[in-house]
Formats: sequence, C-alpha cells, structure tokens
Amino acid sequence: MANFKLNKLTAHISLCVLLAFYLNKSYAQTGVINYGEIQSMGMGGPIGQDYNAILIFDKQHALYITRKDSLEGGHIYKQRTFERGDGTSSSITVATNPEGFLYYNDRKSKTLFSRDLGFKYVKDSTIDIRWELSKENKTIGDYVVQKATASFRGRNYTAWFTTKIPLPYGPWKLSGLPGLILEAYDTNKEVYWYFKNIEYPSKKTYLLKPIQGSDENWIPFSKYKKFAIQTYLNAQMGGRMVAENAGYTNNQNTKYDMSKSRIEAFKID
Amino acid sequence: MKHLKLIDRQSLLLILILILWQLPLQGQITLSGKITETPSQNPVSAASILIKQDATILAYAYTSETGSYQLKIETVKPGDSLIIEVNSLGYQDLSQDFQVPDAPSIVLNFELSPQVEELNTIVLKSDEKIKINTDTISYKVSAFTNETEQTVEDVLKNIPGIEIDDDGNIKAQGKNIQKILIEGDDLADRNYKVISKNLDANVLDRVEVISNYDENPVLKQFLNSEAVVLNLKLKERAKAIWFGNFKGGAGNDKRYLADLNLGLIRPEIKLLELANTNTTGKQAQDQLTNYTYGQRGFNDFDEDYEANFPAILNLSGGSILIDEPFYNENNSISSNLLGNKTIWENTKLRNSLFVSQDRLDKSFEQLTQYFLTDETIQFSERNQFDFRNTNLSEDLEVRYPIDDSNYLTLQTTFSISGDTNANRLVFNDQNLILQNLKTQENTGAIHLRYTKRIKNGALALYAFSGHENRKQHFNITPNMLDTIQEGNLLTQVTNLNNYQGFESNAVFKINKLSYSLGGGVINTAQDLRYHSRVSQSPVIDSLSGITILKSSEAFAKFKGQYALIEETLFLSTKLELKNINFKNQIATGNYLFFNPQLRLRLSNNPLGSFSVSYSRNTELPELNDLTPTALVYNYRSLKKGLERIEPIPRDMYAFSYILSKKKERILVEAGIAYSEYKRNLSSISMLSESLNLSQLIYAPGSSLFTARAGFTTYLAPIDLSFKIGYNKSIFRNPLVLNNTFFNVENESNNYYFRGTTYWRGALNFKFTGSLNSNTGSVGSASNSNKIYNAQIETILKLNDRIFGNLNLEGFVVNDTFYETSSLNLEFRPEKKEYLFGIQAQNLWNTQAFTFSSVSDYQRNDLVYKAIPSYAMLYFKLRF
Repeated sequence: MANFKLNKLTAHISLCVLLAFYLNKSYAQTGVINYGEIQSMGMGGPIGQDYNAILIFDKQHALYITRKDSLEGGHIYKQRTFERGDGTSSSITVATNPEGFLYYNDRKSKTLFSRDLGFKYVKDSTIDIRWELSKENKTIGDYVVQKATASFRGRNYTAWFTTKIPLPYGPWKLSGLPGLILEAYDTNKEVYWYFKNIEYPSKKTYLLKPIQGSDENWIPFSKYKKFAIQTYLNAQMGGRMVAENAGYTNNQNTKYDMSKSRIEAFKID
Repeated sequence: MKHLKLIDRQSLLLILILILWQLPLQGQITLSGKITETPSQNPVSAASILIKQDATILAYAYTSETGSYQLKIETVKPGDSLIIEVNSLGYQDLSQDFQVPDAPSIVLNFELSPQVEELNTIVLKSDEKIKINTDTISYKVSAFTNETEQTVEDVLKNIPGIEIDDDGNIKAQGKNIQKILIEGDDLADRNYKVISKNLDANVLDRVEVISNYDENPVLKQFLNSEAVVLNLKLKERAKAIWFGNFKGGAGNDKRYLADLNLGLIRPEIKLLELANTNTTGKQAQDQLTNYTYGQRGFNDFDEDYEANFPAILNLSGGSILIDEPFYNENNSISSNLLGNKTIWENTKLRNSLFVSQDRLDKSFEQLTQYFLTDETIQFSERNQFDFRNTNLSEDLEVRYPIDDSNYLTLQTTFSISGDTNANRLVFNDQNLILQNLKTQENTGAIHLRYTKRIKNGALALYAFSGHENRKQHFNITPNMLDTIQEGNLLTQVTNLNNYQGFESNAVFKINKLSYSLGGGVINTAQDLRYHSRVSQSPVIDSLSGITILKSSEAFAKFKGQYALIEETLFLSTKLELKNINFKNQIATGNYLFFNPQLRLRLSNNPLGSFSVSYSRNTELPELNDLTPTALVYNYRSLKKGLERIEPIPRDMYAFSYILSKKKERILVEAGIAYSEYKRNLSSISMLSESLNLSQLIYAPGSSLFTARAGFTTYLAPIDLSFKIGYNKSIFRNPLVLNNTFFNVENESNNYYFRGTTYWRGALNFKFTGSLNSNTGSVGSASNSNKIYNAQIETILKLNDRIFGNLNLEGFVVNDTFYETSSLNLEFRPEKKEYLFGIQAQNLWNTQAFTFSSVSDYQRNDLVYKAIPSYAMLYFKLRF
C-alpha cells in the first residue's frame, strides 16, 4: 500500500517534471534580433564605426553580443587616427575581438553579467533605468514602437520599444521597458542602435548561454566603474602625451568629459 | 516651551489637513493578481501587464515565476476607465477595459490562451549597415570653443586631431589637408588659408574632417585616397541670406586693423568676400604662400604638375627665430573674392580672385665673418629694408561629371605681381649703398583632365600648359665693383619659362593589389637674359649672358601597392624612368635616369613601428646655375654658373621608429636619414671684405646626415605633459675658398624640452626651453654659436566672459638677454552681437633682438630693431 502510494507519488512527480520540462521547453523558445551599433562618441552625430550586434533571448535571459569577429565576418583592427589630438579625445581604435563584448541579462537574479570594456567580467545588479514613457510612436518594420526616455550613466537616451514583443530587453545595457527596444540613441546619436531584423522562434538556442568567466574574475560594478574611470584618465594622459610629442597642445579646456570617448560617462571629480 | 508645543500642534494639524486634502486626488491604487494559462492553469511567468489610459502607458509590470504580479497606478480617479493589456510570447494578446474602483487595492487575475508565435521581420540584412559616411568625422564647434576664437583657424586649433603650424598650414589626422570646403563646395582650392585666416569663427556650426577624399568621382569608385579635406558647416543664420562680420580696432603708434567678411551661402551659389587691412603683423601674402601640401600615397593621379621656376634675384634681408610681427613693420591690405556656382546639373564653376598689397619695413645691423684657416674676413652692414608687393591672382575651374564613368575638369590660373625692394645700407660704417630691386611677374597655366572608367580600373589623362615670366631691374648705387665707386650699377634680368606636358595613367585594382602604369612627356623651354651696365655706359660683357635651356622629358612609371600582412606589413614602391633631352648654348645632351623608391613599413607591433626606405633621385642643374658669365646678385656678390651639364644623383636612406606605450606613459620617437650625393653643386670662391666672386662647379663627397630622438611622458600627479628631445644634422660639402680646397662641415645640435599643464583653475601654462648650437668647420678653422631660448604662454580664464593669454619668450644669444611679449584679453557680453578686446605687444618695450647664425665658413651676428610697444582696443560686430 505504502509502495503503491509511493509509486503514485513518483508518478505524480514524474508527471510534474515532465510537464515542467515541457513548459520549460515552451518558454525556452529563443529569439534573435540583429542590431547595428554605431559608436561616434565625441563626434556630435552618428558617423562613427557601425558594428554588427546581436541579441539572443528567451523569456528569462537575454544575451547581447557586439564587436565580435565572427559577426563582422572576420577580425577588424583599424586605427582611425586621432594620434595628434589635444587630449580631449584620444585616438579611435575600431576593433573587434574573438569573443566580443557580451551582456547577459538574467531576469531572475536581476543581474547583468557582462564581459565589458577591458575584457572585465562584471556582475552588475545596479541597473534600474527610470524610463519616462511617452505617447509618441512610429513604425519600424511591422512594429509600432513607442518612445521612452531616460538618463543612464551620463547620457540621455531615447528608446523605441514595442509591446508586441513583451520582454524588457534591449541593446547593450538598456532594459526594463514593457517591450523590447528596437532602436535607441543618445542626444546627438553619438551612441546609436538600430534594428535590422528579428527571428522568433530561432534555432540559435545554443548561442544563449551565460558568460563563461571563472569565479574569481567577476567584479562588482563599483570596481568596474573605478577601472573605467582610470582607463579613461590614462587615455587622456596618453592623448596629451601624443599632442606634446607632436608639439600641438591645447590646455584651454581641461574639463574631464568621459562622454567624448566612452558610452558610459561617469562623473569624475 | 508651551509656545513651541503650540506650534507643533499647529503644524500637525496642517499636515493632517494636507494629507486629507491630498487623498482623494492622489488616487493611487495597487493592482495585483495572477496570470495563468488556459486550460492547464499553469502560471505564466514573464508576462507583461500594461495599464493604459488612451495611448498613454500609466504603469507596467512583468509576472514572477509563480505568475503573480503587482503594480501601482498613480494619478487616477475612481471611475476613470483604463485598459489592461496582458501579453506574453507564445500566448494570445489580451486586452480588457476596466474602471478604477473606489478602493486602494484590487485583485485582477487573467487567463491566457497559448498560440504559436512567429515573429519574422526583416528591415535590413544582418550584415547590412545603414548608409553613413564613415570617412567623415564631424565636430560640433560649440563643444570645442571657449569664445576667444576670432577666425576659423583659431577654432580649428581646438579640434582634436587638427594641428596648425606657424605658417598656417593645417594638418588633420596627421596629414596636410588638401583644401577647405564650405557646405561641401570648393571655393579656394589649395589656397585654403584665405578661408582659415579670414573667415570669422562665429559663423561655424560644424567642422567635418573628410578623409579618403577624392573629388574625382570615377577614381573614387574603386580607389582609396590619402587626401584629407575639411568641410565647414555654417550656422543657419549664415545660410540663404547675406551674412557679415566686422572687426575693427585702433591703438597707439598708428596701429589699426579692419576685417570684413561678407558671404552668401546657398546650395546652388556660394559667394564669399574676405577683406582685411592692418598694421598689426598679419601679412596679406602669407595667405597665398608657404603651402606644404603634397598629395601622398598611391592615389595621386589628380595632382597638378608643379611649375617651379624661382626668381633669379632676391633681396630679402633675412629673418630670425622670433615671430615676424615683433620686428617687421607691416601695412597690409587684401581682398579675396571666392565663388562657386552650379552652372548645369552637377557641373560646377569655381572662381577665386585674390588681390593683396603688403608694405614691410625692417632694420637691422649685421656683422659678418668669413673664418678661414689662415685669415678671417670681416665686415659690417646697417640695413634698412622697405619691401612692397602688389599681387593679383585669378583661378577659374569647371568640373563636369559627364556620367558615372567619365569625368572632365578644366582649370585656368593667372597672376600678375609687382615687387619693389629698397635696401639702404651703410657698409663698414662709412659707405652708404642703395640697392633697389624691382620685379614684375606674370604667370598662367591651364590644366585639362579626363578620367574614364575601364575594366578593373580607370584611365586618367592629363594635359597642361603654362608660363612664368619675370622681369627684374636691379640698381646698386654707387657701383661697388669699381674701385672708384662712381655711378650706379644697373642689372636687368629677363626670365621666360614655358612648359607643356601630357601624362596618361592606367590604374588598376585587383583584389588587394593596386598598380598603375603610366607615361608622359614634359617639355620646358627656359630663357634667361641678363646684362649689367654702369650708369649710361655700354653693357659690360663679363656681366651679361644668355642661357636657353630646352628639355624634353619622357618618363614611364610603375607604381604598386600591396599589403603583405594586412594592417601590419606594407610595401610600397615607385619606379620612374626619365629621359631628358637638354640643350643650352654650352651643351646638348641626352640623359636617362632611373629613379626608384622603396619603402617597407612594419606597424602594430609590440616593439613599436619600424620603417625603412630607400630612394634615388637624379636632377639636373637649374637655369640660374647655368649662367655663362657672372651675374650680379647683390652689391658684393657675383656668381658664374656651371660650365657643363651633368646629372646630380642623390641616394637617400632613412629609418624611423615609434614606440607608444600609453599605459606606461612612454612615447619614444627616433629616426635617422642619410643622403649621399655622387656629385653635387659646389663652388670656387674668392672672398674679400667687399667682394665675393664665385664660380659654380661639380664636386663629389657631399652628404647630409640627420637624426632625431624624442621622449614624451605625462606626469599624472601634477597634470603635465612633458617632452625632451634632441635633433642633430651634419652637412658636408667641399668648397674652394681663396684658392684652397676645404671640406666644409656644418653641424647643428638642438636640445629641447617643452610641457603643457592641464590644470582646472583659472591659469594654465605652456612652456618650452631649448639650446641650439651650430658649428661650421673649414679645415682646421671653426666657429660656433649657442642660443638659449625659453617661452611660457599663460592661458587666462578669469571668468565665463573674460578670456585671454599672455605670451612671454626669452632668449640668450651671445650672452645678451632679451624678451618678447604679447597679450590678448577679450570680453564677450552674453548673447550680444558684439564683443570687445585688447591686444598688446612688446609690453616692456624691448628695443632690439639679437640673433646669430653659423653656416659653412660664415658667421652672422645680427641685431634687429624691435617694433615699439603698443596696445590696441578692438571690437567685433556681426550682422
């Protein structure tokens, strides 16, 4: 009797597991969005390098990949030379790398795991963008997209999202809207993401996996911020050094402004 | 105490009233519930719930793993009708009207029906990029200005990646720019300084740096170019209507300036008038001279043939280390009228008309020594120069893109100018000598180009023809050549140069390899006639002559470019075969030259970037080196030309190295170059206190060695960039001086440091310091000098409205110390169409500047008279 009960329980559990598995499978359906990402920091308009980027998502996770060799059909390394800059903007390197820069949004833990600039593995649970929703809308492809604006890490962004894809993802670190972001840019479009296409469901499920970084590699956002500021300051000094070497310096504007060369423009005292 | 309590009670009451009053309006309600799947009743996680009022989203939330949600809606009143939308991928959308109840919270559950979801939208293919011009980098000017900028040049100095040298030549991204466009149209071609030095800063909205620029639409289709141009985008107010700027100022010591800009900038027509007059050091001719641009790289098929026939006689009076406005009195006036008009479809007509006049005065004392092994010859001069130049240049061009595969351009230029250079000098404090040189010049050229697209490339055809004619009258009073020193010595020089040529190039690009095969002919005919006479006497035979030089040059060249390892190892080569047919009244001859160029560059390497190159260049002597008799160059110099024609080959080897470790804050740059002449021009000279007689000859054993090294770092704790460096050069050339053969050697050494502060206060500095030493050795005799120099520029930022800078420079030359100083301060009222400023020079009223130079067997010690101190007030107005 007890055995039977146990069997029944087992059967029940099996059924649950099976169901869960089935359900899991249904919501593990993966979609893929291709974006273009134009970085033109300090240039005053969307005229910089145009990278191919991709967002792979299911209902619980999203992985955004950009500046990856294979996305561009091969490695890119170009120096768009600003070697004799005045220090307010250093030289622009157009470069991709084998793995790319990765941003993995895990909704359950409300954490963005990223392989960010400097190939740092960052565990960021501080992203909480206060979007202001607007009535304004337009059409991108088949989608009516609605406008939202927010200020995030030194830039004022405009994002266009569609409630037809009811997921809070977007390119890079932009997230938290009642629909997927298809297009986004900052004030002068110095950072600009545009939509190319979507495929859902997609067979590329295998691409959606957490970022592989060993445990000791992961640093919190606060540490990453310090690192980013330091590398920016180093680049400033490098730029000023190059200017000095060439004999063309300009020390009339000595304010630090990260937005002229970085997406994330942290305040520097 | 009681009183206090009362207040407390009152405020409590007030707060309560406020809360009660707020409550019905606030109308915040909390909505919660669960979303499940129908019919299974399983929770639907990650579903979105949207609350809308009309099209406005009031609130939204996503369900948790258990399918539950909670959200707050603010600013609604009971009875308001809202819409709730529930969406989840893989389920049917659900939308429901809903009235706000009179309760602070409400529970609403929803059921969603599964559906197969498919989203496939393609706006662009994954690897497709939106169309942007990646060769253009645009700068919003307002982000790079500090309000003190006067001209476009001042603005450009602030833009990252743009550098401007003392002559006004502009480099962008490390390359000399080809031209400046305005709203995409060319107005001044290569004479871009007319724009950068005159156009007012405040009409600029954006500056675009366009790299890979090729105005030839046929070549652009398949070839990259190394040319860089700037495109100026103007503010809206400067477009479609006439706009203008005026700057005027006056000060003591008859200092004044007036500057006018008038412009009409429309898509189909652009007109710009830039006029200036001043006595504050801005010379009109500077806008049209000293250009350093030369097309680089493989794609130079649009480069014009450059006629280079310099004036035979010159009387300039030299210059020194210090900026000219400190010792050169000027009175300049210029007008530049630039236009560009679309005449039909894409065909454009460009016209530039430059008119200028300069009057320059300077005076200096000079002590000259010829130091030879067994004697030293010495004499002194007190000089006064008065130089006047009037110039008119006209440049007209038509560009006609016939279709995608054919492109035609026609350009004509001409200029006329007149110079008078009057020199009054006292020789050895006893003889007054007047030298007066008048030059009349007219030049003209026509260039015709046609480019046609062919399979894998293009065919570029180029034909040109031009002339440069000059007449010079040179009068020396008294005639110093004669011992009696009576009368005047009058020399007349007529120099006519004509040239024509045709060149064709077939350019191909196949995968990574670009190459061109080309050939052409250039004919030049030069005619030089000169004669001297004393007063009204007959012409002196030994000082008269005719040289006629006709050369036909046929050349074939091959150019190739191939990346051995992409972005890392580059090999470029240029092979040129030239045949020159040469004829003057001494000799005729046929010369065949082979001029190869080879360069290997290794970059993107952790050890640094290396480059090695070899080139051979063979030239023939120039017209003025071939005078059959002596020609009078000045009151004390006569020179006779070569007696036969021989080629002058030069082999050049160069190596350069750059290491940039920005993280370690180290930048190292070094290079050496060595040139050897198998045969070079030399001379046999007879030197005396009052006369130099030279005869040009050929001699072997001439060489030039140069080396440079620099180390740059950034001192982070004090925010200072700092460089120390060293330059060296050794030039060896054999000379025969007073019947003795010498190996003459010139050595110069330059040690320097410089730095820039990046402090965030009201003050910033730029400073430099250097030691220059020059040594000339003639056999066992030698002479050397040392010049110490230090400069500091202080940048003042007193507040948001007042800016300025103070420039101080000190020198120690021959143990004499002196300084130069200048100050500029400007007050710019907020949101006004005018501003005020003050400009001052030579603040401590320095009287004289000392300078010293040593080269070959000659030492010069000079003392220049300084421009007296002055201050000037100016205003600027825009309309």
